[in-house]
Amino acid sequence: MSTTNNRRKIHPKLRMIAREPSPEIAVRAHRSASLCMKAGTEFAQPPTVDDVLVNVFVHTTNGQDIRAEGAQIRNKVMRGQIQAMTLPLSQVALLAEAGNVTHLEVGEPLSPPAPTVDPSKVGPPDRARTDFGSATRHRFGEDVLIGIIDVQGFDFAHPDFLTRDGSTRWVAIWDQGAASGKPPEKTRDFDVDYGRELTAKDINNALAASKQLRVPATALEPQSQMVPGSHGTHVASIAAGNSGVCRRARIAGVLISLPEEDVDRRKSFYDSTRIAHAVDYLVELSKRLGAEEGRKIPLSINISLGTNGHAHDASAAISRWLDNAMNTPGRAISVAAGNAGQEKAAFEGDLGYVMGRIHTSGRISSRGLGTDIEWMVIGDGRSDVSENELEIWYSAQDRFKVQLRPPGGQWTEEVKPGEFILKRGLGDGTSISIYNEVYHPSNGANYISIYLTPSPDELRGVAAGQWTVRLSAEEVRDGRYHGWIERDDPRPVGRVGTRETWRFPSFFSERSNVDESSVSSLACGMRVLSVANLDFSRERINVTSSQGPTRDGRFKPDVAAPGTDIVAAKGFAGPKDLWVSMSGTSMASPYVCGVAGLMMAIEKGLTAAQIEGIIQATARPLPGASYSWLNDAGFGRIDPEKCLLEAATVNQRKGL
Amino acid sequence: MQLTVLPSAHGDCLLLESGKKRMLIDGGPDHSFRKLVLPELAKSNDRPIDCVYLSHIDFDHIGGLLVLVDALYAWRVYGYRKEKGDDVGEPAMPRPPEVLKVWHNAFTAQLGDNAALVASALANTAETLSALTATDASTMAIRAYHQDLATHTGHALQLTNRIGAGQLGIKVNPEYKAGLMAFDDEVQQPALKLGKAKFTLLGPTAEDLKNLRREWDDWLRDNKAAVRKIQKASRIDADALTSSADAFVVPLEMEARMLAEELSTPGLDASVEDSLGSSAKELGLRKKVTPPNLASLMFLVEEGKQKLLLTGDGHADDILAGLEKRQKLDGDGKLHVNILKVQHHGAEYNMTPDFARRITADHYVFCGNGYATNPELIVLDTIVEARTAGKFKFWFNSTPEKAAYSEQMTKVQARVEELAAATGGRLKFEFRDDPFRVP
Repeated sequence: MSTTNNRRKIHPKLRMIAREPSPEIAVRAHRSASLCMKAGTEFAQPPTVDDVLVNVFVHTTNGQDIRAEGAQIRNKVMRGQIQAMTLPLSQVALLAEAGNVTHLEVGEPLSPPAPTVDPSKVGPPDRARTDFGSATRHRFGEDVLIGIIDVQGFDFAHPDFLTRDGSTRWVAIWDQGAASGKPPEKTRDFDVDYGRELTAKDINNALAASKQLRVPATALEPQSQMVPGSHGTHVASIAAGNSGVCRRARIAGVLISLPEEDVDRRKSFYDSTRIAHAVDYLVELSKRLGAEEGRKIPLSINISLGTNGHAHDASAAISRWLDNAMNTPGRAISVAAGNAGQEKAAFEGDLGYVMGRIHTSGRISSRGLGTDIEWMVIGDGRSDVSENELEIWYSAQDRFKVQLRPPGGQWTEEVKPGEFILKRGLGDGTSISIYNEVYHPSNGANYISIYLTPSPDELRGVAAGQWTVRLSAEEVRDGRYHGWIERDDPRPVGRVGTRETWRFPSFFSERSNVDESSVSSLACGMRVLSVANLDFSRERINVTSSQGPTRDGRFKPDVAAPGTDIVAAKGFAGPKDLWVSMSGTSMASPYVCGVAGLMMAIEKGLTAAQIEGIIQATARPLPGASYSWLNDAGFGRIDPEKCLLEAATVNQRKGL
Repeated sequence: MQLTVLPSAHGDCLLLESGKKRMLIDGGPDHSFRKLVLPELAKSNDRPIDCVYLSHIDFDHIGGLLVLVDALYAWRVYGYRKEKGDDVGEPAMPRPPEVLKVWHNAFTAQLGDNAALVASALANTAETLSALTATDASTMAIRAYHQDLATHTGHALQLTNRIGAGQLGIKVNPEYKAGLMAFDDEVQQPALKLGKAKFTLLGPTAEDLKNLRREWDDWLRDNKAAVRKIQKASRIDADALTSSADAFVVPLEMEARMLAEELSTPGLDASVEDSLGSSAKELGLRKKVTPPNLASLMFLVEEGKQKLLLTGDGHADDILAGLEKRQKLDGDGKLHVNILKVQHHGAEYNMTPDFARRITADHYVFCGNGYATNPELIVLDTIVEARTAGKFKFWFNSTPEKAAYSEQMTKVQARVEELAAATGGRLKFEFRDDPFRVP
């Protein structure tokens, strides 16, 4: 194969990044989740592509090692035909030359969870809310491993995670952001050299020493993030705390290194390859525990993080990864649907709706016709320093041309299928890139990606106002398209000179926004349990809960679980401030994770698909609804009692 | 007893020793503590600090103590991990002495369960107000005031979180059974001691703290109502919002503006007036002293014939009232002490001519380096005017920090030289930027 053809193996976004000169690349490492400066690279000296590391998913023909002479591959984890790894940005092309590589994708950025936190002081949760089924049968998930992939640290010393004798219920925590310490054990398929693994022994020793030294155990064995009121602690408490669902399960945590401070961004990764690594770590851990104890340890994983990118049809590398991991019986995975359900401001100044306007869709009915998509970028009065990214997916049968018009500017030329514009400067500091690609290697669909990149001078944001994307059809058989914005959540980045700088999301105008299919792409996987936020006391879906279906029309979210005003452990806030109430799909998902854990405690051989089937079949419609799937509630509210009954009888057959 | 003044930028940080016991009084801001105070304390880390007395939660008093607590944590963790065989480096901060006890009125103790709500409402308010773009001075002052308050309450909660519940083995207000330290006429006051030095609590009173609590409870209620009102009053047409990007930011700013108008945060009016800055300095305006300052813990310390008056950032009237209630004033309503730690870095609002006349000292200690134009010239004048007889000395603890502040210190120096000459040498003075003992 020629080199040009091999370059086609590289996802356009990765092609764009890899061709970036210094100092743009440093700025991009600062902004991008999947890029990171090599350790020791100083701010002062202009870095080059050689100084930048990138996290990629590499798809192979055979799942074998990649033969690329001289490639500095690190952190390689292999699952099926996909491998998630880190390599220097300059070696992406080298990897594409390897015979068994079919294509490379850069990791998708993860969005930090944004639950609503109630600042009032609250008492401990009511254990009755998670008390169901027969305790003699499920034994509160004694033999089950609950794996929590989350952020902000796990307060393992919280009383919600201690046994009666004061020892820990955590079997391990992999802190991916730890700067020093021992990384998890390597195996043939799992070979990472970053982060630190905290073992149960470390934790128990720290708990004992804590009493002598009068220092919290979490200070003695610190994690890279220990945020008071930590998200990860709250989530773990719901799924498996002493007051949660799986009260006797072993708990393992993976702390994703999601940077709090902007200055740390260029030093860390927070992309979907890290989720892939986390899942495989938990899988290896459950196998290891099982081998030690000579019995099978089922694994129920929770991920209350999201990503908006890719096709929302389970074809993203991370979705395929999760689905592959769930092929083995005795495993389940719950994912928060996302909090992008709100599409209008509830009141002036309400930012919630911006989070909601991330999806557009429509249908071009015949050749020669077109449509305009209005894409709002914020900036006036503030500097918006985020890069804005829009992906439009459409049927392989169709051919669309695309044009872009900046606010108050001129249309670009038409970009036809197979054509691209790479980093064209607009004179005001913004540069645009447009790719119109056909037959995506993962799902065969066509897709258009558009990037608005701010000037590397951080003070100048992307030109603000309405950007218009015009699609016009050269060929139509199906005509449907879907677009999603990939973006950060809005937040102030700080004051620079006299200006407040913000990292603002872009969003669709109300006219272009289509209020469905906003479920996080991570929650669109085939075998993941995708969970909506049920406001239990009002018996309705919380307005912020993201909606389905997936782009390929599948029913996600699956189910709704209590996620509004949920009291659970408050981490790292001292012994006198133990509980906190939060709302979001982040709180709903671990409830389902816990229920799946109990189901597997009763029947160890359940597959993720069976668990999904049982949860769907037993779900109860909300008031006024039928048994039909709804785009916000899924199949209705989860019925844990019935789930457990079904789990017990799933393999019973009666010969007639 | 022996008082040593430690260099602490614009804040307070002093060390009091009596016999073999010693007490750290406030910590100054974080940077000076880290750079100047901690290395000094580390020289004697083989014996503990028996008591840390934190007068109140402003950063120029609490900042250094947060560093101290951090250092204590870091060294315990280091000891543990090293023994365990982990590959860990020594903490960057020198090893501080252990701390046995803290006297301070925690924000959570003052406000009870509402503390977290107030802190969170302050943080939200500050964040909302951050959308205000620079316009007039008073709006900016409202913004700055809330940002400061939010920071201070955040720090206070952080300290509580780290030393609460016996962590680090530190006892909090043990003489008051871990409760609030406040003076109450009707209750027998516990004995407070450091070695042979006896402490008399002058303030705050139980009444002061009750008022403070009520003020914040009211604020919380009003603030909630204000936010609701703004949300309700300004429901807008969502279509209009999307017509331009401009329309997206404007509502944020409008909300901030409306909230700024509605706010009646304790101490706000005074702070705003202040920033509008009439150049004439007025003495003794108690309403211009912020709530945390008014809640300062204040003591008269006595050992034999020696007397030391520790005032935090308290107000002249409150100090006098405390002395009177505790029957420490003579028949003429006066008190002479060896050392007066001049209240609030020598700010004009905290000083009155009456106070200067009635409370006299051999040594006046000013902790301030020109920041916020403290110490104020008018305060120096007032004291000197009141001292018609006797020798006395001014000590200035003025760590140089920023050129902007040194302008004030140059003025202070010039004025003190004039005053010393006018008193015919009765007034002596010394400017120091190193640790020094007050005789």
